[in-house]
Amino acid sequence: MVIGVSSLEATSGPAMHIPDGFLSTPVALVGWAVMAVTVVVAARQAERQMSERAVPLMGVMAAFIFAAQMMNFPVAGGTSGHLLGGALAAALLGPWVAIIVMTSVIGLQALVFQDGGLVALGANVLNMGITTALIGYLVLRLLAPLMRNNGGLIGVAFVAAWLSVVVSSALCALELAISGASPLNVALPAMVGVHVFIGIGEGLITAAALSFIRVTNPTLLTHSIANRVTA
Amino acid sequence: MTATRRLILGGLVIAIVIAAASAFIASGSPDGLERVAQDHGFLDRAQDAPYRVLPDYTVPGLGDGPISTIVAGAVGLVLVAGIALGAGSILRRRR
Repeated sequence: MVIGVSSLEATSGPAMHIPDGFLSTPVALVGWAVMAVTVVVAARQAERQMSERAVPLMGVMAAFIFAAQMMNFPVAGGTSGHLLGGALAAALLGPWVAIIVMTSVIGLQALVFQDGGLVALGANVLNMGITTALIGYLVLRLLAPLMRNNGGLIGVAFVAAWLSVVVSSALCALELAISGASPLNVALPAMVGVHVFIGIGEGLITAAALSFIRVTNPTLLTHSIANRVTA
Repeated sequence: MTATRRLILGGLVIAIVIAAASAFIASGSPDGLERVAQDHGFLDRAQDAPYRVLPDYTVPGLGDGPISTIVAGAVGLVLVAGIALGAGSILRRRR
């Protein structure tokens, strides 16, 4: 028991970050391949859209998400969660630049902070960076017409961020199941069941941040959600 | 442009405050994945990292108290902002 607790402390930091050992080698390799291809595509897309002001925003977004991921908040049943941030980054920077920012954060966490495994890095970037940015952005784009007033913005931001976490946790469960760590009929309800609640925190933080930015920098939000960071 | 600059400065201050505050008030409970791994018996599959630099947001030698987390967090903030700014500058220049 003591060994279990100490290895928990040593191997997994505060997160949905998968430590090494949970995933089989093929699943980890697929994760790396998806990460590599997506980062190349994201870089090409981002190149075309990058504005002067997107560069400092990338820095501040990465810093904010890194800090927010240190701040675990309690959820039901002696469990904690923290912001993933992909939906928020995508709302402000567009999905491609957001993926670059998320990869920077998750890569640094694995390399320097031993938060998330090195072998599992690709899967962690896929789950917590790529999936959250794309799902978050998709929902924001689809529901953009509802975001004209502040109430609508808060509602849409909440749904986008919440769904990004739930889909991310489902993907993580699928990877665990394929890896043989836990069967899908166990891992999927367990992971989604917890992250339905963790996602509420993600939704509240994302909605609050976007609502604040709507007041202070209204043009930033409308341009980025329209995928025109250049404006 | 001033509004953007204000947002950037404000965001950085908020990030620093959150990172520092996390050293005192972050929940130490297992996170979602840890909890599921515990409950369903695959937590022991986890392997130790092959090396450790600032493991779990602490500085080796400074213990695992708030000071250690604050220093590790500060290093992380500088590094992550630097990496993202660097990536952004490269992408911007290649345009």
